[in-house]
Amino acid sequence: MKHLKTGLAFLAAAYLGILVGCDQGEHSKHSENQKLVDEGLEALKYYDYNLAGNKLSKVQPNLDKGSDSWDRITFAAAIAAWHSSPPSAHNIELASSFFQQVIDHASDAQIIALAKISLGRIYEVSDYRTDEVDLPKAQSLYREVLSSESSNDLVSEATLRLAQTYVQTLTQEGLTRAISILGNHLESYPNSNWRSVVAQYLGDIYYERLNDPKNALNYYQIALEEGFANKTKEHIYIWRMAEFAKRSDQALLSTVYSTKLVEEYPRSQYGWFALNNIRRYNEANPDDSVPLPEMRNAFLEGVGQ
Amino acid sequence: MKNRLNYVAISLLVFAYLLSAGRFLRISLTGGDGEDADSKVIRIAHWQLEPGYREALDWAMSEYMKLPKVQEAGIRVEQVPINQRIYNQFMNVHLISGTAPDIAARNSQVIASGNTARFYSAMDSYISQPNPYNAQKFLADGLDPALAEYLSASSWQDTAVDGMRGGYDEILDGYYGIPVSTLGNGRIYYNDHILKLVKAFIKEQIQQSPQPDWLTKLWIDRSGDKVKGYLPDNQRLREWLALPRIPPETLGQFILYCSAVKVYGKAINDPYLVPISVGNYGGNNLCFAYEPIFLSNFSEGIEGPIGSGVDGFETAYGWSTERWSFDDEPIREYINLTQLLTSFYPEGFLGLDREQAMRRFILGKAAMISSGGWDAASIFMGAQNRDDPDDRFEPIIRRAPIPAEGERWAKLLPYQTSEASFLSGVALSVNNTSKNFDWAVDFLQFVTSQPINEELNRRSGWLPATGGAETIEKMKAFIPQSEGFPRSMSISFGGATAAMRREWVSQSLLAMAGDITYEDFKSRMVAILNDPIRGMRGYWISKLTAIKDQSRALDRMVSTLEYRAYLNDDQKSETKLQSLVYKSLNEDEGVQLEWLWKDTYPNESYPTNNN
Repeated sequence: MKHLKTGLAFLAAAYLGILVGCDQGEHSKHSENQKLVDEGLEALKYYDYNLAGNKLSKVQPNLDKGSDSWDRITFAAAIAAWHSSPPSAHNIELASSFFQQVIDHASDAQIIALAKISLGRIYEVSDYRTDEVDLPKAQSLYREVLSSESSNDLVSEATLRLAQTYVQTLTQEGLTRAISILGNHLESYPNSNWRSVVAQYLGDIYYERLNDPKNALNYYQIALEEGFANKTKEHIYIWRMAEFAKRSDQALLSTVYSTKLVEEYPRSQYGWFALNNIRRYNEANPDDSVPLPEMRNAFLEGVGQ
Repeated sequence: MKNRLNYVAISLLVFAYLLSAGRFLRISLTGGDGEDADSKVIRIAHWQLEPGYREALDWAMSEYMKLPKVQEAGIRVEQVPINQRIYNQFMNVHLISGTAPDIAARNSQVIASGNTARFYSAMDSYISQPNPYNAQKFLADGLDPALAEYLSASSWQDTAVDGMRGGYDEILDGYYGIPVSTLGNGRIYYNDHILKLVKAFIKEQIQQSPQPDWLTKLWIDRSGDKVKGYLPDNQRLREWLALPRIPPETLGQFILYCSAVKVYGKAINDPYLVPISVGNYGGNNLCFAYEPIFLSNFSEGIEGPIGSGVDGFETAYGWSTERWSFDDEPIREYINLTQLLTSFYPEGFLGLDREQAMRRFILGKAAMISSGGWDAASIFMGAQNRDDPDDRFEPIIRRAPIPAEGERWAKLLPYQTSEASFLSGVALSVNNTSKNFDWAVDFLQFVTSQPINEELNRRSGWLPATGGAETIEKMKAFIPQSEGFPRSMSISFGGATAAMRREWVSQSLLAMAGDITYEDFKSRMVAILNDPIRGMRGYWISKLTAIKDQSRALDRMVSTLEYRAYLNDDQKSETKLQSLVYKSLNEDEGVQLEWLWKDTYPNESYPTNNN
């Protein structure tokens, strides 16, 4: 009996020992995985895709698909593989497979939509020399986002990308299709955060591809009201609007944008052109004199707009 | 004796080895800053070796180190001035090896230019907040209360006179540098002493009857097929001559003045006196001030999207589609003007360096020199510290003049270029791996606060970068002028392919100097543009490749920002994302370029290396 007790105690101790050992092993593996994830995400933060790819690709297959962070880490691994340099068939396939895993297994509609947009983009462009563009596949993925329950923002982004695939066809039919897609989106999503970008892109297509400054101005007007996405180029867009107005026989409206440019953008190199635009209008229309705004000097005023 | 020498040699070797090993160990342990691993040393690398800049920065650093919180934290700030010639190599090596200084002046040539975000920190989130050192209690006494309120309440970015555009990265759509000084664009420095003497000489010569030949040749004559001369002898000229310290106000007066300096030099038997001191440093070559104005005459119909300016590709494309040609008046007349200007330069100017050019002006052997505000401190110091007080002079600074009505080239040079979108310089970036990141940002806030920035730039003789910081009197002539046309609206081979750019630079310099004829210049440029590989056809191919590469870079940014926006529900990332997606839509894979090809050559497929 004494031996039995001793034997059981020994087994229990051994079992405990194994348990502890196993736990320590699991713990150590978990720590190692966590370390790889942390290092990978940190590298991604600094756009070091190769390092991020090395770390995250290594750890991703070990992760439990049911875990909270699986979809986010898989998505990060996909981005890292996609953008690792030099771009190669292997990296693009790896990225595509990660994005596809997110699409197939993630539970959050937002990250699924993001993965579809990203995968669509991979199909849309040629990432390496022999990579073939597959516009129908890209369009299909973008359309899936449009018909999903994704946020307005992601639907807007997918819409822009979808329209872009039609502009890329270099055909009039493609342009008409792109215009229709963007126009419908503006109507259907009046409160979208991306309204400005959609309207401006539509304006660009009208002016640059269809030489239609009047329609271009209408859509730029929407973008102006919503706020242009790139603040540093706002003055250029206002100058563009003044020119659109002039080129669509709306000279008085052109002076409105010119005045805005001179008054609100002292750092614009188009300010003086804009001032001359008003002067010329006044010369041609002496009865309709538009007040001349005063040229400002950003350096002297100490303002950095 | 021989053995003893061997022992000495061996001892020296052992000593040197131990010293080297000890130093290596110390550097390994301390990261090279000479202190223990916990020491907080902020190192600033830059290449501003102009007189006064390092001393001014030293002053700012010492003021910072006097702050109680800085002393308490044991922070030390050191500068690492590096010659510009080796700055790139230095930064490349240290960025890759992870030993780069905490703060470094941005340089587009540094390897980090393609990897900016990897090595340097985006400052967007910092510059959107007020600069704590612009709080009212820190601002200079007597500052306008409204300005003081503006500085203390505005974002750090809005307190910079250039809106921190000098630190903006176009590709990343983010701010990666904090500019601390404004450089000041190109100006002409006149020797006031020579100005007075030569203007008196002109007055005397113009009164002669008959007037001397050199003078009569300058009067504009439009009676023949070709315009001769440069300016009319009119009331405007006489009024200008009556003011001894006023430099030329028009291009015609400038040509008259330069011509007079040459004649005056002969008259006083001074063979070394030249009108304009120039070396091979492009910043001294006055011809370049006129290039964009002449060549802006071609911009109509060449610029891509309105407001985007004319780039190297559009310049070459414009030529290949006959929107402009080398037979057109603006480019012919540009070379004509440059040939005239180089006749006022020293003999063999292309063989002289920047130092020689500046020394000549300081020694009073040139009536003027052209350079930017960055050389102002050296020039002022040199001019006023000549050994003999009689040799000292006061440089007078003006922009390169354009012709007045009735003068030669008045129609081709109607405006100055606008300087409204000036960029401040010495943009300092913070290294992502800095052990003292927060202190590095804190120092940049300190150095760009109104009172410190004012004093730093007063001491260095540069223009300030912060609103409300006073500009010293001498530098006021460099304050950017808003009036004028956008410089980017001019055709230029500056941004073209390396082969085209090189040919343009070398052939135009030879044409300027009169070493080749205009016809030679034209045929050499046409030859390069028609070259099947280095010319326009090759440019279509390389441009598309470059845009595709840029699209890839944009895709990288977009997907990383998308991820961040998703993770953090971050509105700032969302706004930047929208901006980058818009850019991506427009540049996408060179679709605009492919459209342009299709519009221009509807029946031909886009060129590739295989067709």
